[in-house]
Amino acid sequence: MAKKKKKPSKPSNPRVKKYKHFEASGGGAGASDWENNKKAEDNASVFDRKSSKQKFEILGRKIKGKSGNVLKARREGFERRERTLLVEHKLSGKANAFVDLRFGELDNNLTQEEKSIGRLARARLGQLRKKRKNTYSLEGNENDDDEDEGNGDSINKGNLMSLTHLGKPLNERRIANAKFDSDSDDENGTRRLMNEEMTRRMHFGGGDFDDNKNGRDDDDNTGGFRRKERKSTAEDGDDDDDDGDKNGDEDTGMERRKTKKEVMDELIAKSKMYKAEKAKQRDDDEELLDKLDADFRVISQGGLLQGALRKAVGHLKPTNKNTSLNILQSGLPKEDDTKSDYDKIAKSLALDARAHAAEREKTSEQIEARQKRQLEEAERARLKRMRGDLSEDDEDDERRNGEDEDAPLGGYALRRHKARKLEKENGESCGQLLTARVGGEDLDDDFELGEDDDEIFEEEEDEDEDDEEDSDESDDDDVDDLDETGKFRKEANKMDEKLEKGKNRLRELGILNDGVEVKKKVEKSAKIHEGTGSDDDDDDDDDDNDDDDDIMNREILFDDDSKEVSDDDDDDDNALKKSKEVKKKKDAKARDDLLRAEEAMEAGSSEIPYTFDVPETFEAFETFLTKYTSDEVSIVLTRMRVCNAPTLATENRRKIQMLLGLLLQRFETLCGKDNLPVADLNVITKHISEIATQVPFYAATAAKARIEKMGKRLQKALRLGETGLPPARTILLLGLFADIFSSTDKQHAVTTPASLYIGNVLSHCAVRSTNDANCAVVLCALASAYVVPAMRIFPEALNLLTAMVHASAENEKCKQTWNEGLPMHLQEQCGGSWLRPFAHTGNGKKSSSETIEVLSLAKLLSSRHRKKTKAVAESAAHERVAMLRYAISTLGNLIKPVQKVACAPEMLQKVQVALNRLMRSLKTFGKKDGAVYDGILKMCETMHNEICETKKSSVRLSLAWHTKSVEAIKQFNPMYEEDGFQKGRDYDPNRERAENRKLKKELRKEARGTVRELRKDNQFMHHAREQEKAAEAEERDAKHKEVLSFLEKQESDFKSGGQGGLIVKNKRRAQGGASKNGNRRRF
Amino acid sequence: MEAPSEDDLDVEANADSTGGYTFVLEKATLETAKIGKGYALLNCDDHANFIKRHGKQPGDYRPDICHQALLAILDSPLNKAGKVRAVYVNTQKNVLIKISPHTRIPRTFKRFCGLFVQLLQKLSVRASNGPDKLLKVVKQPVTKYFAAGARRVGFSFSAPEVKRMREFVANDLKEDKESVVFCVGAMAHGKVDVSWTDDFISVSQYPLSAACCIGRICNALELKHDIV
Repeated sequence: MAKKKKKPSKPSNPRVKKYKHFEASGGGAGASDWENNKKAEDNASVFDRKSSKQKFEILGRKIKGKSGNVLKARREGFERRERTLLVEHKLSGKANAFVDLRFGELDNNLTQEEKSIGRLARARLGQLRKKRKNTYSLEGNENDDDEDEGNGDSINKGNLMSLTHLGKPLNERRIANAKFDSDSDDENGTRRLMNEEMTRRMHFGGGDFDDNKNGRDDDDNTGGFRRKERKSTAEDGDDDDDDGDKNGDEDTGMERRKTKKEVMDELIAKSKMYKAEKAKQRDDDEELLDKLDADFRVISQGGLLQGALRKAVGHLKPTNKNTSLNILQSGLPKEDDTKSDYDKIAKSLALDARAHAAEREKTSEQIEARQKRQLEEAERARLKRMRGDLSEDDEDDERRNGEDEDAPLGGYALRRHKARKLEKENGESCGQLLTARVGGEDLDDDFELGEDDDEIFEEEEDEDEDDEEDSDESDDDDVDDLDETGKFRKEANKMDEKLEKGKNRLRELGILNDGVEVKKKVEKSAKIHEGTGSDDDDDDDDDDNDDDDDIMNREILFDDDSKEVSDDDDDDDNALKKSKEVKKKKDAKARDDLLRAEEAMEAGSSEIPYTFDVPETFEAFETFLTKYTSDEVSIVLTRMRVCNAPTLATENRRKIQMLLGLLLQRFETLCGKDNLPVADLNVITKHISEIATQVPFYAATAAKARIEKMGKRLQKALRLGETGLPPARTILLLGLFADIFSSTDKQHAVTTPASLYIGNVLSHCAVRSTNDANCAVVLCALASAYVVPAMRIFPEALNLLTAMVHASAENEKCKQTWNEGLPMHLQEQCGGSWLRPFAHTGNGKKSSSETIEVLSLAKLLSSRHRKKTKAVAESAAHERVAMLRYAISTLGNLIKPVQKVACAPEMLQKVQVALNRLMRSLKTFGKKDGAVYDGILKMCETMHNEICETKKSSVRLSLAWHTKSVEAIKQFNPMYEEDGFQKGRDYDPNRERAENRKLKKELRKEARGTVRELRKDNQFMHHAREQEKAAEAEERDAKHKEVLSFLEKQESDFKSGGQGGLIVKNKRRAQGGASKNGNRRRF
Repeated sequence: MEAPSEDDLDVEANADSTGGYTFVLEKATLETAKIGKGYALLNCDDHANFIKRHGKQPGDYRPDICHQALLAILDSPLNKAGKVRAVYVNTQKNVLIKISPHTRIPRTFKRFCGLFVQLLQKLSVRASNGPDKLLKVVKQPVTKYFAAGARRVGFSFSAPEVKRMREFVANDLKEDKESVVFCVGAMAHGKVDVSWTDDFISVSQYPLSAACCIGRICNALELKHDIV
């Protein structure tokens, strides 16, 4: 062992070299680790210590085998080999081996005494075993156990494996259990059984329990049976497995163990429990019922239940309408004190009517169709009135129609209806109820009448008609169009009113001798309405009665002054009188009819018809429209459009298109007039724009055709050498198009050519008079209307307007001529300073109070074609000032889009110059005159400032050559593991390869380890064999010496003649030889 | 007689290519430690307790300085124009790292840490989309990688003279044909003390961060070379 071997170290880290170093003080890095190992290897010399120095320290890294005791490791290895390799070596070549099984022979820790005790115990046990006849008897086992316990032999106890629970032998627990059971002696076996079951289920190792049971209930049949059974099973098993078998036995036995008695007990217990539960439930229910009853009593006393019931049972409608209200009134105040707000709200909510789905919204087509139908009906009525045939049949028909609509179709509803009628008839005497009943439908009329009471009577005096008829008509209308648009109804009502008023007037004048006072008339008529209303509800059978009623009503109308009809009781009287006055009334009726017819004819003919057809030609249209005033024209056109709505019939589209064409034509002719008929134009414009949305394609085509015509006209005019500025008609048309069509579209069928046309005019037409200038300014404004909303630039308008403003700055005081600084072509186009403001000379009083008038386009345009007169010249001064202002504001509009553009400073340069000049010029005027121009001056200044701002804010980049973009050097992403790199892990994406490599690495490692071990084993074996050889050689030497010495002795004996023993010198040798003889004998 | 190592070959290759600026970041605190199961680049924010446990000052561990400085160099237009020859990082543990100017340093600090953890274990990092080694641990000393006769300028607040970088570049570095070595400290405290610098200057009256100082250097050089 003295030979020192260097342990081959496997480099786990390239930067850590393991090496053995001989100086204890040298290991700076491994010092702490060495400290730790010091205790364990206290005895190791410093030369035996091994440590490895870390070249590059990494915090927190621990390297295995960084330091250690070489000697210890070597010794351990040696000892291991001695234990294994050497033993094997010694046994090699031997067929048998002697195994020492004596107790404690191999254990060095036991003392001799302990050993002998152990041996004795074992020997006794062996004897017992031999004695036992039935080796696997459990009883015997038990006895055995008892004996063992009695002996208190710990070793035996351990061998025989008694079961424990919670560190105590189960036998002890058995006693405790028995005690528990004895406590509950008075109970029968059930309790115990359950308890047992419980413990078996819950506790660990139920096996012992059986023993317990057996011990206790030896007499018990079941116990005996069990025991027998177990015995039979146990015989098969082995002694050691006995306990386990018992357990298994118990598990299977548990299913069987539920005896009949047990089951019955369980059943009884369950049924008892159910019974108890049922009884309890019954009690609870009763209690709840009582409580509910009490609550119900409270509720039913409140009367709310009645209402709720009524709601629930729908067909039992209350006869009194106010029942629900009554309930509320009667029920609520009582409970106000007791009930909370919540209850009140809940109740009110319960009484609320459910929300119902609203009627479907009508489509535009349906609405149009209805409107048309209304108009047709109105027209029919009008024609009827015009013809004057007011036959009763019609009325009856109408009434019947109305009634038909009112009456229900059948079933309960019809029955109820009839019942109601009966009731009504019965209660006719009590008027109050009737009033309340009928009120709903007539409300409108009454209201209207009451409202218009104070109005001044109007022109239609000649219109007089029967009240009844009026009311009937209105009633019918109401019935028909209850849910329809109110327009028509209102019209009808208006007619009623008019008639009423006319009648009043007549009465005042004494023409109409109906004996009714004017003031009271209204009231009466209201009541008459009611009467007729009730008639409406009457059955068909009561025709006679109906007539009578009519007559009666008429009677009222023509009754004498003193008679008061307002009293309800009088109705009865009237009914009595009826028969007497029939004849009289018939006369009156005839007279009345005549009168009515006449009136209606007159009224009908003067009224505007309700239905129109679209005229085919323009002439017809023109003549047709001349009949009406501008307001009426609007009505006529509306009706015409309604009657011919394009959605109603296919040919109507064409008609509407034609109407649009006619309207456009009319628009043009109206524009051509000297004095613009502004009202007419307004009416027509409205309709044109509405129709244009209905037939957009046609409208666009028509507009485009007109614009093309304008363009051609312009070409012609320019060719002829005229200025070519368009007439008022064209300007107004352009304005109309700007209104109708979208001017913000990038490309539009109408507005694009229109703006092109305006551009043409503004760039080509020369301005040669003030009127021309006005026209140009208006065109510029139109141009701005066409382009500014879309923020487009109109350069022609901008140029011309700038030039005109520039020219307007002509002023002698500033020594500015009109054309100074203007380019030649604009000079030619402008031709003079047409908008030049001038100081008012002489008229001091006028100028002081003067403000700039608002220009009227109509006036402006119509004045264009007027000849210059003196009056005109005088007003021209104002006009010019206004025009200048207009021009400047237009200019302000036109430069708005320019300001958004990058080249704004250049484009606005001229505008700025012009404005500068104008401002300079305006400032020269005296204070008096200056006041007039203050507004203009201010506008100029603000515009000027705006332009300056734009100029300032615009940033210009100087032009630069396009430079070639320089190429940057190419950069690469470093490849690294984003989730932490770990040395030694294989990051090969190919898993198989990585796995292979790992295995190979492991193999190499193992191989290396094996080689190392083998080498060491070899060394060890070599050493062992050498030792053996040495021992053998020594022995041989010894033997050799012995033999030699024997021989020598023998020889000397022989030589000395058997005296060798006597010689003292040889005595020792002789003795040694004797001792060795024994040895020799062994060999 | 030893065969020339790879590094030596590198040196020769560098010596051949004249021109280009070399940056040296001194005293960078790039140190890996085994924390838990894996390795991490120590920084004062995340590993303060760990550093304290090992008896070190957490304030010294500032790899973010190095990160910023590297970003400032490698993202500068000067580098994009190809004027940077190499960047060397000398850590406080005396590990010398050569970083290729073609490296695109990770933008986030976390990724930067990951990259350097790998570098310090594997000793080199390749490009994911190119053939070259972008980062590499090389042998000391750093001076053997400088071009022959290159001007070596050190920067420190503690330097005796404050110079305007623009003037310095215009006047002092006029005749040096772009082969200049700049040495900047990448540590939190202390100063750079390297023996190999020719000049030792300060570029501001204030102590600057490494990234800021590098920004100044790059700006001045960009002006000189008209790199926009």
